[in-house]
Amino acid sequence: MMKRYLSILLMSLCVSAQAELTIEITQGIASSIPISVVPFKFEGTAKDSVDEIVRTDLERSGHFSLLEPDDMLSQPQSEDDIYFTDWRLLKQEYVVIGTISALPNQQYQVRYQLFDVFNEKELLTQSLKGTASQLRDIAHRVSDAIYEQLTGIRGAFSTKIAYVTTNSKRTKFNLSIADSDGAREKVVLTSKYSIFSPTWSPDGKRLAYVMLEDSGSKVYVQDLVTGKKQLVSANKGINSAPSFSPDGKKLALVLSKDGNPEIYIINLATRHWTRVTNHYAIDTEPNWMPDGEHIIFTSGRSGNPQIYRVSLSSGYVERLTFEGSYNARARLAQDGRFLVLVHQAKKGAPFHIASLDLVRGLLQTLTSDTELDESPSVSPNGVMVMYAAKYNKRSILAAVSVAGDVKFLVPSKNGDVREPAWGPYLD
Amino acid sequence: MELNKLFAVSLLSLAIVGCASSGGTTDEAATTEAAVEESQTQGVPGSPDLDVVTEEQAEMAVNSLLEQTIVYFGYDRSEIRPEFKDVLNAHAEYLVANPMARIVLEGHCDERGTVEYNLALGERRANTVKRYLIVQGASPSQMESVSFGEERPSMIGSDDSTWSKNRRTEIKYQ
Amino acid sequence: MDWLLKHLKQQVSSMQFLPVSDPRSFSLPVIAATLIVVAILVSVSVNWIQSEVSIVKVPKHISAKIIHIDKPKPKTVKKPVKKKPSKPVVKAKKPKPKVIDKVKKPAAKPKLKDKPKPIKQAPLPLPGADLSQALEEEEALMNLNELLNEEVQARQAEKDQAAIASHASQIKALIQSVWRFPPSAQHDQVVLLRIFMVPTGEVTEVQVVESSGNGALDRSAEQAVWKVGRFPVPQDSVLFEEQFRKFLIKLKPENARL
Repeated sequence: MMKRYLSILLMSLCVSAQAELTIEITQGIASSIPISVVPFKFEGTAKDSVDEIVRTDLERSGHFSLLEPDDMLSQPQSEDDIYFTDWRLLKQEYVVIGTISALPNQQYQVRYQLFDVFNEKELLTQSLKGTASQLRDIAHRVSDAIYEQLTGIRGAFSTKIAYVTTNSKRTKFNLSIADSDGAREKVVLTSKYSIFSPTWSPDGKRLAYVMLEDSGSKVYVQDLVTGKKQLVSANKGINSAPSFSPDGKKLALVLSKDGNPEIYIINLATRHWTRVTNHYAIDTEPNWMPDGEHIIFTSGRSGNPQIYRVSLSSGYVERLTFEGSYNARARLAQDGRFLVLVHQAKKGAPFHIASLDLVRGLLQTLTSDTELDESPSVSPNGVMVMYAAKYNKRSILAAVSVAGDVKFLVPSKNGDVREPAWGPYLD
Repeated sequence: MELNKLFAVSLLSLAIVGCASSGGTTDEAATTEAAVEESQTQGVPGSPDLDVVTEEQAEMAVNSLLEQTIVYFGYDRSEIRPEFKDVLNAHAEYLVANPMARIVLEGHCDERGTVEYNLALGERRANTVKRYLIVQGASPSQMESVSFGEERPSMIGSDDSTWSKNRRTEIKYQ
Repeated sequence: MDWLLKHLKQQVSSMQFLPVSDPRSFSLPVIAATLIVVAILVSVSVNWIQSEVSIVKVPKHISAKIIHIDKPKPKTVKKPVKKKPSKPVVKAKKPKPKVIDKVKKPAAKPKLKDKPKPIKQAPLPLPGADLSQALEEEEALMNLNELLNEEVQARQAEKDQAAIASHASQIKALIQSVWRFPPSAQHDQVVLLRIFMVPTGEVTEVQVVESSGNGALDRSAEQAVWKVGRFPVPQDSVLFEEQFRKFLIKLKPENARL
């Protein structure tokens, strides 16, 4: 009896001892991390400035704000030359220094170090080798490593984008691939017919697209290594909006052969068709979810275009967007927690790119400078969205972070650039 | 006699002008114009004043209608507007009278909205014209519909009047 | 305490060869722990124990207290003295509230009954009656003392709570004004920090007790605390030691976009 009494006493004392004061903070300011990438010490005459590319990459990610070299109090090129108090004065949280040295056989070695200014310690160091033409790739890998080290998210700076360029008269179309920053463009296909809806296979080795010939739209798959193109769908009516399944074996498509545009799945090996939607309204723009079990699509079934999700096993269709007069072309972002899409708040309003938080049901507009934004495509780490926008009467590519802060324009030569498709990681 | 001829021709030409200009107007204006047109065109067949219209003139009228091969649509709409019914009726009659004639109906959109959704909308616009012509007696085998979405605009520009000219179905005789 | 020690010895001798899975094998550690606890209890609740002992020592303590307490009160209590010579002993063993109640209730009844007998009571100063009367008085005073103490303690506790709340909200405001979280922060991520302060309010150490899973967010939380560097602390050093020497801060960026 006494034992029980005492043990209860003991427990109650333990509980009271753990009642530590807890203060809850629920508001702050979203702010990018201040980092300085000091110009690398360089011996040689290579064209591409590695540190310049790293600064641009990190700035565009929206997670960092970069100090311009001109604003640096000093430009150390070795660890001993770093005076952390100087950097703290400049309110920098991280500093990157590096060297590029020439090696025999026309090779270069890039060495860099990332330092934590507050704790005055090295966080990361790497050494990479390559030819002059590979310096850009090395720079992007440096950006990827720093980005992942400081955000915990895998960097997407070494990925590619595909897009279509055309002249103002619409008489010539080029399907091209470039680095995610627009550099090193390579034309993959030229045609007098309009090319649109390019989409990457998950392994990054193929592109599917629509070509709008005189007889109508047709879907092709092109092998990027061999350049060979294969006709996948040429049914009566519409053949468009291809989307690869996560395993790369199937293609979701829009066909109107049975009366009106519906979503179908074709097995690329067997050419076996499966119908997915069955509604008299327009159903289009399918996009597979990573589980391979659901497809997100656009449908006019409620009167105007909205986003829906269909379960491939049950056929159950669920509506996802409820705000706005036009919601279309949804793509997944942030590990499937968000959708990015083309959104019009009400009739007559501009078309913008918006993000929809599937967890909280919040829709936020990401773009505001331009009015005819379309074709959003998400980076493989789910952080950035590239899209086409009308700017000074031309169509150009721009990118915005899903968190909605940083925007930048992808530089392009002439003509109209449209239909961007952000490629996957190339392991 | 001459006065009557003049009257008939002027009425016809007014009707034709009415058809051609309705493409650039908003839905509201279009309906009022259509109402006006209706009353004007109604005047033509049954009017005792036009008993003396020659075959030549009638043919001219029909040819004028047949020369119109573009039907325009309201924003985000695909139904046939009343002002185009005469034009389409003329084409339907022609197809009925000429069973070997073939047409392709090309559906188009303005640049607003997504490329793929516009491809589907363009097809709707082509198909509503096709259905109308079938209802008027033309044979389905004489018609093909194809959509070009926003990819082949008739005019380049980003303003209301340009956009209205791009929202169309074109009838192309093969 | 003796029986407890005996019990303990018995336990030790009988439990030495029990397997760990046997619950009885825990009794030794439990008893040892409870002994420690009881020792703490004893050292903290000296008054309680003293009240048992003080019945014998009453005259010395209570005489000091009488000076601070209202004099007329003992008069109302004197009346029931005759009827309860044995009761004080009984009362002393029971917990305080009951004692107080019993003192109060009988006071109501004997008032009516005792009135006709004042002559007999007053002039007979029997030693037994005196002692019990004195004990009654002193005990009653003690009880009142305790009541007052409780009130004082309650008011102090309220004051303390107010001070804690006020300083907590100041700390919250200071941190919210400087906290810059990274764009990758998600609205449902939470980081828990433990802060160590010295009495001047300077922060000496910040520990991440529970990571949010987002390293950049964790770092931003730590940096926010260091940026403030010094928090307002309550003047009451006891309160500071109890609540602010080390405490927790939970940061959740509810206004994040993601």
